[in-house]
Amino acid sequence: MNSELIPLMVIFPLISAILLNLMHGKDKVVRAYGILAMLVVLVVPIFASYGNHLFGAHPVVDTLPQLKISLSEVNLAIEYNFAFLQKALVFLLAAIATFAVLSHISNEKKVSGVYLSMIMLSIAAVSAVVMANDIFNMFVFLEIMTIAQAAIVIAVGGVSGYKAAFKYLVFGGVAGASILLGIALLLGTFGVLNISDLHNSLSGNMTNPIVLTAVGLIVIGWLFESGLFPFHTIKSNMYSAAKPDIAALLQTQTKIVLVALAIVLLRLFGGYSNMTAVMLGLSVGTLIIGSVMALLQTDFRRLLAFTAVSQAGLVGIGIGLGTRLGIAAGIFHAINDAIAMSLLFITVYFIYERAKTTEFKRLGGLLVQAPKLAFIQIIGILIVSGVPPFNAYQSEFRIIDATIQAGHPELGVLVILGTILTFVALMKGFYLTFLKENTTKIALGKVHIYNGLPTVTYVTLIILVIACVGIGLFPMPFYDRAYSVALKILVGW
Amino acid sequence: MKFQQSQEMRNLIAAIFVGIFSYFIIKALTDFDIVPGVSYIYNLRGPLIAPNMITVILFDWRGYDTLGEAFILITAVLTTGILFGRGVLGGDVSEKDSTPIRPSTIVQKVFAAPLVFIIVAFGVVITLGGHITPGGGFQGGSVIATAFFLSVVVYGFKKNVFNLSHNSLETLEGVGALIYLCLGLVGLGLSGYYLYNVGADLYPYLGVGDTATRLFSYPDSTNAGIIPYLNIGIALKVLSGFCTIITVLWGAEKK
Amino acid sequence: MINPVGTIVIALILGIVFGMSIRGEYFNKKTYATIFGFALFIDIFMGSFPYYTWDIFVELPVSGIFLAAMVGLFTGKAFRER
Repeated sequence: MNSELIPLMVIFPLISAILLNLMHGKDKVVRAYGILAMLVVLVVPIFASYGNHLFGAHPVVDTLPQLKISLSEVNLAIEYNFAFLQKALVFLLAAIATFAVLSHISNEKKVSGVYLSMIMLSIAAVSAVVMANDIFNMFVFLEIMTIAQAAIVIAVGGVSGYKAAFKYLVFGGVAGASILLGIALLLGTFGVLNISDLHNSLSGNMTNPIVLTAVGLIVIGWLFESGLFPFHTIKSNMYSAAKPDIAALLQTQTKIVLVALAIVLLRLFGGYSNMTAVMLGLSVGTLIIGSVMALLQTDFRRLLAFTAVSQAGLVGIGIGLGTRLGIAAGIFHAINDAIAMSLLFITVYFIYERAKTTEFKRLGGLLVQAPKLAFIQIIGILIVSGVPPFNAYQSEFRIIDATIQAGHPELGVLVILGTILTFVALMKGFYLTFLKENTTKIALGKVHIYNGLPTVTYVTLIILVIACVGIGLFPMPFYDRAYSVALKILVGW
Repeated sequence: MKFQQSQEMRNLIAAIFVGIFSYFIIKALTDFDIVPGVSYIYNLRGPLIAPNMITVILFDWRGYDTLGEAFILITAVLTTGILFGRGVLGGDVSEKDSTPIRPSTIVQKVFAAPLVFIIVAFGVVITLGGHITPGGGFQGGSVIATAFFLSVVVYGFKKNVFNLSHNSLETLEGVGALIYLCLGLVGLGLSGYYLYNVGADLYPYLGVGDTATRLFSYPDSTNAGIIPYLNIGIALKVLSGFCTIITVLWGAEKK
Repeated sequence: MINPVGTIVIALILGIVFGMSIRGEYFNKKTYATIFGFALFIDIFMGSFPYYTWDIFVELPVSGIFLAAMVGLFTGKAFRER
């Protein structure tokens, strides 16, 4: 069924990006249009009906013998799919982006149109990656996402930002080239780019050495885009160099892209067990290394950055198991964790804006000035660590369950260990920021941290907490849908 | 192990891995049996749209990918602008003009200005003939941008033949991108499919109105539809993108 | 591009757009004459370059678009100098 609103989820942010860039310099217009555009971005995925969209109206046609492919019909157009999973991911992205943009617009004295336009471009790119059922189109929008994220970090300025963005772009170039080469090999071998068609022609062809090379190349790209093991420092540098409210958006985008690309990999090469083994092993490595690195940090932003990376490893463990339970739990955890980490990042944004620093040695004793913030942050820490009434508990529990069901109980132990490490690291950050008596005199007095949070930030945080509690109390509607997606991945789209 | 030695070891390990990697890729590429697949149908039906198959595949069959490619360029140009101070948080950093390092010779000065006219006109020809002959928006835009490069190199940025500021270039780029996006919206509004090639009307059962089809039709044996207009949008975008980059880099030279 | 004149009109518009942004200080009557001579020469050399199959260009072996763009550039520049 054709749905006309599907392309608008990508096209509208692109048009907004162009317009915001043209409006740059006119502060009031940029603010007004920014809020308006975010509202539209938020509303479109709610009203779009499920279905798929064929760009350029090119239909599915019967094959001819000259095509030399084994399918009976082939898709000529670029196809976008839109079902519950896509709706959930796009809406999650739009919601977190709205919070990030609103907090930026309401707290900054001067709003930069170019900066907002970069945020819009990254929203469009990630929505496209989520919905695309065409492997080349996915690559194109991954490139836009990489460059736009680097630009968001560059706009903050400072040596660390430039360094992080430069490394990100260099490695992004390598990863992008590797994905493109993998796609080229697949196109040359099978002659189609549509993922459903590729899935059908790949089945039973897994021993082909060209396909194996393509698998390796695309997995390298997946590892980079989702910030897993060999690339974990690059992603965490990006998170810590960006403004914390936008870092919330960046880590949400990373988790969404992780899920979207992993689904593509599993759909195409799900029968190839060595691939899932590599995905699983590197995810476990990311979980452990990320949480240990988080313990060592002396800066709250970097601590959160490594926590976000280690949580991405947790999502990867679920998906890398390759079982129904594992994939469903992984997708569910990606959604939960994106919300919870955004909550923590936005609380840290507030500290960063008022104190102009997040280094532990210059902070301390903020509990007296900002008890509400401390309360919300401790809730956020409990959520991320997987404490019962909240959402991350539901998904972490299911991931551990899936590891045991899949016959790897030792992985379950590692997941519990990683969660404990995360909890200890986050509590260390909380203690050093809020509870420790400040000895350096910098945090108190001179800095204007006061009890009253800005209304927009406060409302944002409350909505995120409510979302976490709501999903935590009623997980089944989401988990059931994730489970049916997992079934579809394994059985056939 | 000393630092120097560990560096050497790392390089050695990296070299070994690159070697293994290249072996597999080269092996994969040598026993390659290329399957035509969808490109066969693209080439079979393409001549109904326009004679230049590259343009047809770029702008009709996979027009949405081309939109993405164009936006990669836009994003890169905006990022370059941010790198040099346009749009950083906390207010823009102003750009500086600088004069050429080496004064240009008399021959350069006499011939550059007339040449600019001819190059621009040639670029327009390449852009507008894109669907019939080799050429198109990307190529035509680049050719027009070379005219800008030439005048900047010969006369210096402040006194170059074109009077284009960074902001007006951004406007031009935005107009180019909006032309592309809005032509896609025309297809969405009339047929329900984004980037439907309205004038070519390959699939008449979609019920696109007669007036709209005639508006984009083409008095030729083939019917390129919206492709020439998409080419114009791409040309504006590419040329202003390149010009923006040289503007920014030229201003950054003496910082 | 509703009829053969369409391309010429669009070339003219594009020429005017670019011509509007050209500074006058490097041009005098001699330069104009040189440019125009060059343009005609190149035009005849190009023939009916983009090879449209409409009658007007088949009978007239010059590149109409090139000429139109050139005229547009001059017009735009003249506009600017007003």
